[in-house]
Amino acid sequence: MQRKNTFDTYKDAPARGPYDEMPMLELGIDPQVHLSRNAIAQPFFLVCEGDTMIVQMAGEARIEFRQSPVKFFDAELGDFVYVPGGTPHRIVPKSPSIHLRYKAMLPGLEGVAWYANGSDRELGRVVWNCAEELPQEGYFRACRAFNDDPKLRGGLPQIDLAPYRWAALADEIRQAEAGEIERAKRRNLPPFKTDTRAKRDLAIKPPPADRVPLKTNCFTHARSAPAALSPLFPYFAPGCIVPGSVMTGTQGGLRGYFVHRNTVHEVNLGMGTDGAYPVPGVVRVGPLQHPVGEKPGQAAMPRGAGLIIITQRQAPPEEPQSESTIFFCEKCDNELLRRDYSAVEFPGALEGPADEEMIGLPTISQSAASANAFNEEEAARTCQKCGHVNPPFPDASWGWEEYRRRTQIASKVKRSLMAAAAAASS
Amino acid sequence: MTDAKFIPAATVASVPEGDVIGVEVGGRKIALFKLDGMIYALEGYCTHGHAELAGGYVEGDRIQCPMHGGMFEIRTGKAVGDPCTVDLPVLPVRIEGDQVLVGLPGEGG
Repeated sequence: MQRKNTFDTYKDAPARGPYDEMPMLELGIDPQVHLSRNAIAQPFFLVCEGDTMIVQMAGEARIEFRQSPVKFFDAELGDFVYVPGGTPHRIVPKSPSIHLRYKAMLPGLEGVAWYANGSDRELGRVVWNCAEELPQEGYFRACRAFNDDPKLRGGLPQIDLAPYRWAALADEIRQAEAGEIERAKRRNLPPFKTDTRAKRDLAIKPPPADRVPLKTNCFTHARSAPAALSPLFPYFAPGCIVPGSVMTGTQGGLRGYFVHRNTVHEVNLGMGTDGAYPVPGVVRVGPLQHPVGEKPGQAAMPRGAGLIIITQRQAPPEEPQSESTIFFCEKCDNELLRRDYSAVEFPGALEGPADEEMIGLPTISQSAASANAFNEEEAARTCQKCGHVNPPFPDASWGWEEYRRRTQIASKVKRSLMAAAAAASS
Repeated sequence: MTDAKFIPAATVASVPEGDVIGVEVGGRKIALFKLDGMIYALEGYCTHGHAELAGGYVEGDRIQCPMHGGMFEIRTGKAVGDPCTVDLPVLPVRIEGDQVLVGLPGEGG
């Protein structure tokens, strides 16, 4: 299998099996997206060191949690389930299901665990370092150990390994990655990042205290989302997976054109359309610097109303995360204005508690600030090359300023409520 | 193209057969290809939007844009896959020794 920056969930799913967790995107893309076609209960609880996100792309399933304040979610088509790192969880399909899982390209530690029936009492756990052992190799080794050790099973039956083909998958993944490394060398690209963290104890920390499993349906979310890229979950800390919804076909469509630069990848997932684009189930990852909207002078994309979920993974603290908005002359394509900004800071003063959840997704508020900078001064819109005065960017259709305004109000009123609550409880 | 100025862009050996690399020549992004031993140069950005083609995939004699999957013929620059409808400019190439020189229009010389 040659992995690229795109795949079609529904075309590729028939070739996948239960808990394949096949990484579908080429090496270097972060977050990576994994595909499985699941009709039987996962034979273990999976524990990932980093946060992951599961998307129900077909069928219905229950996602069970252990050692967590959330016991389970029932997932249906379009449900996105956020699983904080360290949370044991397993998928129990109610009907044949297709699942996507987003996780870090370098996932660190992973493990599987088993629990006494219906309880949080852990019977045993096998953990590995993904820098040394692929998850599929870990599953296979752990399940064989489970079958061989009655003490580890704690009275649970042995696992029938016939439905799983993890050993063959591991070979397929290693072969694909070797090809991608070779191709990158041919193209004089820098080497892919590897996990350089020192060898650690194979102990996965419990979930962070401020993060619990959450479920959001992308369709109900998008119908009330105020802005393009409105996040599905309130988690924005380093390492968090941040999906945002972009609905097209509203208010005459998302008009205007600009180029966006990001230091982290943006994974686009088509969640349906009444036209030709976005293709349902297609995952695509554009370049870090990429066009957004319809470039003037081009035939419009054959799109109708549609929903795309764009997901990025927040960079770790040691890797500064930044973005740029770049506007071009509609007549001669000359660059007019480039605004660089921090991807983790709100533009300008923000009243109220400085917690990550209230800041929201800074990208949206920063995009509002970029549009303002472009629109406020005619000089910024006047091309130095051809003299054309470009029209203001139609930012209202994107909802950025509204999101920024709502973020400011939410922060402000939260502070007033905190003050009132503190006065009442003192 | 008589008014093109030919500028060194890469070594012949650095352009992989059946694949693409991105280079910057005279401040412009250029995509260089090698098909059956012949080097071709196209403008570096997709005509549909500012996506760098060197991040895309060579499929036979076509380059697929990494953004929306639009396709162009490498030898002619012709747009042959949705959503791309505007052809890519093909830039002239000269080989001098082990150097690939790309002709930039309007650069004179």
